[in-house]
Amino acid sequence: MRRTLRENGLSLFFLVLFLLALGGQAVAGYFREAEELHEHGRSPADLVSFVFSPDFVVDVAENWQSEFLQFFLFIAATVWLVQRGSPESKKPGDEGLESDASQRVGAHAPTDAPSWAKAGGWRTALYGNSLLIMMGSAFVLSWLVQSLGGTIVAGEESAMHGLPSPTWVEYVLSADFWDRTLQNWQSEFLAVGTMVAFSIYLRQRGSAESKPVGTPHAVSAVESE
Amino acid sequence: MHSDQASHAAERGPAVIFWLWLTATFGGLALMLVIVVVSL
Repeated sequence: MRRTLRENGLSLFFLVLFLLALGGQAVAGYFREAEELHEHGRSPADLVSFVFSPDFVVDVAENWQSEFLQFFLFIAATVWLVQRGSPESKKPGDEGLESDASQRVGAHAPTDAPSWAKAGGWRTALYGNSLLIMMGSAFVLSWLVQSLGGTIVAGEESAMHGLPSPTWVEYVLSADFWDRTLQNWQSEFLAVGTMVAFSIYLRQRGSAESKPVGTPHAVSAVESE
Repeated sequence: MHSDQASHAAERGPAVIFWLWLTATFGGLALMLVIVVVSL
């Protein structure tokens, strides 16, 4: 049991943080919603009803979509673009999908390789892009949820002011939708950019996200292996 | 726990973690999609 916890500690640590933060967001969001309703002379529903409401869903989904977009773009961009000196990057000259031999697929796959890496054809092609496909699917789904939830919330606010509710297309073209979307995107792109750039010259001893401390600045972690 | 059982459990760990995260992510997305669709 202790060995299992230790060997999976990184995922479990972030799972616990995720659940605590989501729970905290639910409670804080509920009290914010209750204050807003109180100002309009209405009484709030209970916490469970709030968690299953479009108001909470849209706040969760707008952050999810930007995180999955961040990783989708990071995975895709690091195939074709490099940053000399960054441990997040392949070394210059290795841009592209690389050869079957270097990716150890098809006839070049070792005996203990995943079965779809050995299979060849569409299965190897699909498996070879599966990480990008899953991140992209999660991005598209969460952005769709944000847009649908946002349409409902915008409709509720319009109704409070006696205005007609927007359609989904009207909401997707609205300033509110793009304000919510782009304020999340800009922070994700900033974070990824700083990670790539800072890691050229800065180190964290012992972290898998850093080059070893004594590695020269121009050398990436991939090159030093 | 027997050492073979402990080793077997340790090997299953990453698979359990993978399915746990996949279920949490896409299960959460499916739940959110249902909530907004029924509210439309």
